[in-house]
Amino acid sequence: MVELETVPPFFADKQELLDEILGRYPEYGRRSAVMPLLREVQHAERYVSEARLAEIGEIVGMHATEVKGVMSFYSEYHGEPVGTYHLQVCSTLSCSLAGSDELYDYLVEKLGIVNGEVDAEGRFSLQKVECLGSCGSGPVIQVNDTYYERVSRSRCDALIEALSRDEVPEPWRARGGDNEGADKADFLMHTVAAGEGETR
Amino acid sequence: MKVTINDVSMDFAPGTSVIDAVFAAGYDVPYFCSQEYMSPIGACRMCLARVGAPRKDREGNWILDEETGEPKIFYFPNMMATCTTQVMEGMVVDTLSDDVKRVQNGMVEFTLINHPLDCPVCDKGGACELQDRAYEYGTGESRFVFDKRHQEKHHPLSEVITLDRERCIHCKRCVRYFEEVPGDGVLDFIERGGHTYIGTLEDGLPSNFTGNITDICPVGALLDTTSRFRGRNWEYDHTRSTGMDDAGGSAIVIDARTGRIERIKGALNPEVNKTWIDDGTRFGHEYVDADDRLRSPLVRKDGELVPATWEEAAQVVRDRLGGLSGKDIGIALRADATLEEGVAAKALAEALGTGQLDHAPRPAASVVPQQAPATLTDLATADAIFVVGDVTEEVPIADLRIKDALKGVTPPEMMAHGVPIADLRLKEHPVFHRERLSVAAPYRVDLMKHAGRTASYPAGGEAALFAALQAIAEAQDAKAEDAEAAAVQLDDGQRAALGMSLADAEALVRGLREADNAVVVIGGFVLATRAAAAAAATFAKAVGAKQLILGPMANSYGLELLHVGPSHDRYAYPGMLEGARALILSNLDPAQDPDVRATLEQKDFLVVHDLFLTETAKIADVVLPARSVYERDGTTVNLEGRFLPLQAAPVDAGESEDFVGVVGALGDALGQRLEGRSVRSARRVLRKRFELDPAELGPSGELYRPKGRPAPRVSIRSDEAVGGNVLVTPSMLRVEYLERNPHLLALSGGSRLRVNPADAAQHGLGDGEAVSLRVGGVVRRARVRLDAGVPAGLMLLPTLPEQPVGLAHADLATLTRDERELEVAG
Amino acid sequence: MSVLDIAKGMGVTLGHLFKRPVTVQYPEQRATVQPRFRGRHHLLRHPDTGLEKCIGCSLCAAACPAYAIYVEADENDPENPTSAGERYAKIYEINMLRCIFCGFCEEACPTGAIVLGHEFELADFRYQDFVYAKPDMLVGTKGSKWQRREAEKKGKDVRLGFEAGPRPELEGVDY
Repeated sequence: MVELETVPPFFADKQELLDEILGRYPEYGRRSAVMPLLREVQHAERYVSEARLAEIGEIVGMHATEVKGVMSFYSEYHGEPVGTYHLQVCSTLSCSLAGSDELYDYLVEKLGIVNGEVDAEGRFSLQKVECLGSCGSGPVIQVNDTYYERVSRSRCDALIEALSRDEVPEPWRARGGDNEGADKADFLMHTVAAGEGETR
Repeated sequence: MKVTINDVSMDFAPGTSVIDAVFAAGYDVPYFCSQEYMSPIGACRMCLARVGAPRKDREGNWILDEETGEPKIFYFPNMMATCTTQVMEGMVVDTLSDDVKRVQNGMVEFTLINHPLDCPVCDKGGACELQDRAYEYGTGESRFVFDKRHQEKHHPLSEVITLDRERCIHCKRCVRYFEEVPGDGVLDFIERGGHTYIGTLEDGLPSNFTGNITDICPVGALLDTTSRFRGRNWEYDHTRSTGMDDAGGSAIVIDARTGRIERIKGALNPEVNKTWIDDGTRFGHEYVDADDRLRSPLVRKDGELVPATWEEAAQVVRDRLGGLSGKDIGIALRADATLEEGVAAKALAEALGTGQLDHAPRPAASVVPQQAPATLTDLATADAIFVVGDVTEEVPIADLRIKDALKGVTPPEMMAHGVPIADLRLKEHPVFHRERLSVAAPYRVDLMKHAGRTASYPAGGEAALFAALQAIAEAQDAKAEDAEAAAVQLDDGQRAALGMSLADAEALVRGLREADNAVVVIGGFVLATRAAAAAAATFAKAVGAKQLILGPMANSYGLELLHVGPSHDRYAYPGMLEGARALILSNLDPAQDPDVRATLEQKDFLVVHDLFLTETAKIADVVLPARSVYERDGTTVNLEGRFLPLQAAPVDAGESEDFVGVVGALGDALGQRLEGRSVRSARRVLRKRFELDPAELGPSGELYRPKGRPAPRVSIRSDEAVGGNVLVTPSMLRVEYLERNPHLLALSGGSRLRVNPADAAQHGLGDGEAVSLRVGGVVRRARVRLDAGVPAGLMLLPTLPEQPVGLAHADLATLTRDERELEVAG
Repeated sequence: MSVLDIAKGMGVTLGHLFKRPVTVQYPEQRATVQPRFRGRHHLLRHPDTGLEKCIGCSLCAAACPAYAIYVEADENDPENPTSAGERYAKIYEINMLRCIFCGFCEEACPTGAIVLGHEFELADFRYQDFVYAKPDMLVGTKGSKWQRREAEKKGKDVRLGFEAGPRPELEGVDY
C-alpha cells in the first residue's frame, strides 16, 4: 500500500485551485480532472510520485493504478525525478527515418545514460518518446518544453555544450506559435534568410 | 427486431449485441475481450463483421432499392466490432465472406505480433482462446520477422497469481473484472503502444476474488500459481461439483490429474455464482494432497494406533459399542457433510437407538428463514440491502451478488447459446449505487467500502440493534398514521446500540420499507443468539424485507432441513462431548480444547472419522480415513435452499470413505441394511423426504421451499447474552486447513489475531508476532495483525468448526508468544 | 509345364547356392540397421550448454497412440537450470512394452528433444524394468537397462549388437 502519511498532501493548501479545476467538469465527469491535476503536480515537483498518484486518485474517484495508467500514457509526466534538462527524443516513424535512432545512440554515448536514466549530476535525463508532432522537421529533441528540430550531430553537440553551461539556446528553427518567445516576424525573417521552403 | 445473419433470420430483443445475435444464429465470430457478465468494450477488434442496415428518409419511409423494391441495405463503411454494436431492425450481418475472413486473419496476425508463442510451456496451452482462434481464423504463418517485445515472464501479482507480461494481448478483461465485479479496481494498463503492460501500484491484490482473472484471461498471461506447470489442460479430469467452503454453493470444476487435485476453476451457475468464485474456494484445495493424509483405518492395539482394514475397524467398533446402551453413544458430523451423509448418520443413530446426534457448528438460531426467504437472485436485484455481519468472509459469493444489485443491472436473460457474451447494459467504470447498501458490523468489514451507510455497533449487541431499528420502524408507522405523533424517541442505550446516527438509522429503515425488493442479510453474529435472530426476523417482517441467512458452513441449511439434530437440548454437540460414553465424530476436532481432551480421554470408546491425524484422532480408539469435500458424491443445500449436486473428483485418497461409507461398513458389521449404506439408498430417503430427485439435479440445482414451517428445533447454546473479549469472526479461508495450503498460507500470513493498535501496545504485541492464546478453551495459534478498524478492547480471530462465530472469552493470561513460529513462506 | 521349366527353376535354386548368404549370425555377428530405423528413444541436450532440450510440455504424451509416455513438469531453478527456459521435465517415463515405435513423439516434440535411436535390444525380465526414465534415455546412456546391468556386472563396456549409419537428428548420440 502507498504510505500516504509520510508526505503532506499536495492539494491540502490549494483548495482554491482544486475547486477551480474540478469546477471545469460536471460532477459525473469528475474523472476528467485527472489530467489537469497531474499537470499541476508535474509542474510543481517535476515528477509525480506514487503518493501523489494516490492523492489524485482519491480526489477524482479513481484508484491509484488507474491514475498511473493515465500518467504513463503521456510522456510529459514522469514517475521518477528527471534531470534539470530532460531530453526527449522522438522515436516515431518520421523522426526515425530522419535519423533519430542514431541521434539517440549518439546521446547515449555522449551522456553515458540510457532511456529513463538521469546522469550523476542530475543535469541530464534521457527519454525515448513517441511522436512529438513535428514530423516535417525530424529528428526532434524536446528539452523540457522547448523543441529543437532537425538536430544534426553538430547541433546536438552545441546544444549539450550550451546546456552544460546552463544556457538554454534559442531554438534554431522556430515554429510559429508553439514556442514561448518565438516571434512570428522572427520566424518569417528566419525562413526567408535561410531560404527554406517549408512552412509549418 | 428482425436481423439476418448470413442466411438465418431471427428476432432479437432491442439492445441485444450483434455478437450475441451471431452466436444465437449458430454462427461464430472470434473474440477475446468480451466476457459474460462484464461490459463489452471492443478492445481486441477480433469480432469484426460486415454489418448493414436499412435507412429511413426524412419522411420516415424506408429508402428502397431501386431494382428490387426492398429496403436498401446501407453497409457500414468499415467492418464493425460486433460486441459493441446493437441490433437494428432489418440489420444484415455477414460473417462468412472473404472480406470478413481477410480482416479476421489480419487481426489474428496483429494480435500475434508480440505474443511469444511459447504454447508448449504455457499452462493455458490446450485451453487457450488465442490458440483456438489463431488456429480457426489465422493464416498459419506470420510475416513479422523482427524481435518480439520482451517483458517480465513471471511476475508474481500475488502469492497465488502469476502474470506473464509477454503473453498479454491487452484485452482488458482483468482490469474490467476488478472494477466491475468485486468493485475494487487494482489493475490497469501502464505505458502505451507496444510497451503497454498490466500492472498495479498496490502490494498484491487486495480482494477476496482475485483468482477469477485466471479463468477469464484469454491467454496464458494470468495463471494460477498453485497449478503452475502441474499438468496440461488435456490431461486433467474435469469434474463439475459444488464448492463446500461456505454456504454459497458456487459451481466449481475440479481439475485432477493422476489422483491429485491440481486446480479448481469457477463454473457457470447463473442463479448462484454466475462464473465467479472466491479465492478460498479456488486456492484452498492443496490440503487434500497433503502427505500426512490418512489413507487407511487405524485401530488402537496395546495403546498404539496401527493400520487395519475397514472390516477389522468395523468389527472393533461393533464389539466395543455392543457393550454400551444405545443412548450412551453420540454421533456428530461437521456441517459440510452432504445430505446423504446426514441420512446415513440418522440411520446409524436410529439403529444404535440414540438421540445424541448433531452437526457442528450449529448456531443458536435456525438458518432456515421462517418467512420471506430471499434467493441470491433476489439479492442481486434488490434496491435496498441491509447487511449485518461480514458477508464477504461468510458467504463471499453473496458479496458479489450485492455488488450486482449496486450496479443496478438485472441478470441477463439466457440466449440460445447461453449467457450473452456482450451485455450492452453493462458499462465500463460502472457507478455503484452505494445508497442502496447499509452494512452493520462490530468492526470495519470489507463491504463497508461500498456501503452508503455503515454502523459499528458494540459486539454482541445484535439483538439491541434490531430492537432499536424496530422501535424506529414502529415510530415511523405511528407517524404515518398520525402526523401529530411524536418523532422517533430513543434512549441513550438504544442510540448506542445503533452504532450510527439516528438520522442514518431512520433513513435506513425508510429505505428498506420503501424499496420494492428489500433484503436483510443476517450474518453469523446475529445467529449466535436466538434473541438477536428473532429480533432480526421481526424487523425484516416489519419493513417487508426478505431474509437471507448466512449459515456457518456449506450444508448447515440442508442438515437442519433434514433435522440431523439431537432429540433433546442436552444431547446437542457440546452436551454430547460431556455426557456420552462413546462418540463417533466425523471431521470434528474438539480436543483442541485441553479440557475437552481430558474429558474425551475418559470416554469408553472414541471413533474419529477425519482426513488427518488431528488432536482428537490421536486419542481415538478407532480412526477412519475420511474423504474430502472434493471426493464425495452427494447433495448439498446452499443458503437460499437450493439443492446442488456434488460429484467426486478422481483423487487418490487410499481407502478413504465418506460418512455414507462408514455407515455402510458399520451396518455390515452389525448385520443390518441401514438406509444410508450407499449414496443410492440415501437418495431414496431424500426423494421421499423432499419430493425431488437428488440424482436428477440440473446444473443450476433446484430451489426447495419447505412446506409449512420447519419443525421446531433444539438450541445449541443458552440464550443468555454472551460476553467476551474476543470476537470469533467468519473466515473465507478455512483456518483448520490453512497450514496444509502452502500458497494460501503465504498469501494470508496464517491465521490472524486482529488487534486494535492501542490494545496491542497495552499487551505488548507487535505486528506480525506469532502468539498462542486460549479462546473459549480452544488453544489458538495466530499472527498478530494491528488493525485500526477493530474496536478497542476486542480482538478478532477467524472461526474454526469447533469455535463458532460470536463472542468468546479468552484468558489473556494464556497469551504467549508462540515458540513454534508459524511457517510462513516469503 | 514342361521339364524345361522345372530345370529353369532348379537352375535359380542352384545359382543361390553360390551366393553370399543374407542371414546374419546375430548376436555373434552385428546386425546392420538402416539409418532411419526407429529404436529406443534418446533425450537430447543442447550441445553447447549441456541443458536438456526437453521442456516437459507433454506433447509427446498427447501424441502417443499407445499412451506409453508419462511426463510431469516443474519449474526450473533459475540458479541451476535443468533445461533452457522456465520449465523442465521432472519425471519423464516411457513404457517400452507399450511403445509401438511409431515416432509420433518425435514429430510432436517442439524442441527436438526426443528422437528415436537405433537400439532395439530391449528384452528384460521384470515389468518395471521396461519403464525407462530420464537417466535411461538421456544422451550419453548407451544400451538398454539390461545391457547396462550386464556390462556393469562384467565390468565391460556395453556391446550393442548392431551397426547403423549416421542420423542427423541424433546429435550427440554416440554408438
